[in-house]
Amino acid sequence: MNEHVHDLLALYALGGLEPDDLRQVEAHLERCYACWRRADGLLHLAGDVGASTPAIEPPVRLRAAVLERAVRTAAPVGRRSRAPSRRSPAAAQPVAVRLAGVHALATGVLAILVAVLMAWNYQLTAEFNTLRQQFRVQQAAVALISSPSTQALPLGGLGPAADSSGRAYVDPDSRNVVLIVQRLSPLEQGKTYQAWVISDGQAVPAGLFAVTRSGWGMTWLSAPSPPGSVIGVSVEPEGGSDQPSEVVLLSGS
Amino acid sequence: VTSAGVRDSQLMQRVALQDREAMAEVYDRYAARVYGLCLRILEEAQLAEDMLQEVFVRVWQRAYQYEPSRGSLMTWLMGVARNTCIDQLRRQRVRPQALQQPDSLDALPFEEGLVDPDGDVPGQADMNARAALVRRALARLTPEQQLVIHLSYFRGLTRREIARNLQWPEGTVHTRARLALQNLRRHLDELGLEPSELE
Repeated sequence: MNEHVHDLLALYALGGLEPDDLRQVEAHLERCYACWRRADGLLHLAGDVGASTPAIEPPVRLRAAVLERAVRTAAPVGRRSRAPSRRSPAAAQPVAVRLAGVHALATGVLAILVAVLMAWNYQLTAEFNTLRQQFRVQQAAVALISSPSTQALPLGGLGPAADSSGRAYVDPDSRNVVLIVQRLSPLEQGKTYQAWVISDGQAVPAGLFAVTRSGWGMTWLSAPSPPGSVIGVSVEPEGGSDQPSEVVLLSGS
Repeated sequence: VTSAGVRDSQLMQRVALQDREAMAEVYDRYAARVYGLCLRILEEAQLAEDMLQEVFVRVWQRAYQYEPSRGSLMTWLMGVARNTCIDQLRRQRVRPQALQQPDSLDALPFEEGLVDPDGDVPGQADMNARAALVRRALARLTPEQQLVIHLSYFRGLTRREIARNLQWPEGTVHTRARLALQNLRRHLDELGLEPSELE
């Protein structure tokens, strides 16, 4: 991790950066998922600071004004009322009735169509946000893996997972790790793979992950890997464990 | 995700679909929180009322941007409200000029309205209880750490402005900001408050 950026994350979360520092931090967050996670956590903490302010009831008269103004700013096309028809009364009555019926039907269909499209839009936006986050993770992983200074530690399979293998890509500055595994068996329901950083005989939980049907998986470890530490993967009950039970992959093995 | 979180998520989905009743419900549930923050930042009732309107216009227009998986609606709203008010503050340059170097760090403006460790928690129990705990955790920070939060978050001052006003080295400003949030998290843990974030 860029040390300078790391120093600035707290002020970033508190909204206290100059534009040049802000640009630098945001550019870094675009390519470093570990820092992005850290910044996200700090942003939530800053949100708690804001939410700690005592609640004060606004003047009652504001409610109607605020809601009216908000709703007026972006009324959807489908909900704007249409001016009534100004056809001449001299027009033939049956035609007017028919037109009124068609108009009402068209308006109803249009309203339903608009509602369906908006619901679809909301769903697409949610999916887009999820994909954008996944893309951010993958993009940051690719950046780390392809960096010439990144260290790659091979992981070997143990016991029943002897055919499996993996590779831990370690950023030499931040010690953040991207772990990629292959040929690990997909697990039955109620179990999960858990990554570990083992240092000085102590195993630190570093995140849960799953693998694809072909046994491939990738995850950013949630704990940094100090120099000389070992990376491991174990099979654990759903939700993970405090200590590894069945270790299936280990660096240096 | 808590049941309140699920309710908020459904509510915001309806707001995104331009449901006025849902919008009114969001207002009824959170307006006092938003207004409290606006008043705290702007310290002027008329401006705070204007910004309250502005915040809810943004909620109406940008409801689709709210991602329940990224945090509570309260956190999202506080972010929108804070940014709206600070933008206004910076545009008008009302507060930065009014800032004076405190004579003593024992008497911080931060403590006037925010730090109320024993404040009562009536009404909207969950939100108020959480707010009270956060205030208690904030009160445990050193005066310097409280000050850096106050100036950056509630006054919108940047690192260099804080350094200039308080005659602190710039490095000291970001170190104190980092320690402030680090210790705040620790105190929240000690008080048994679930962190509202991912880490």
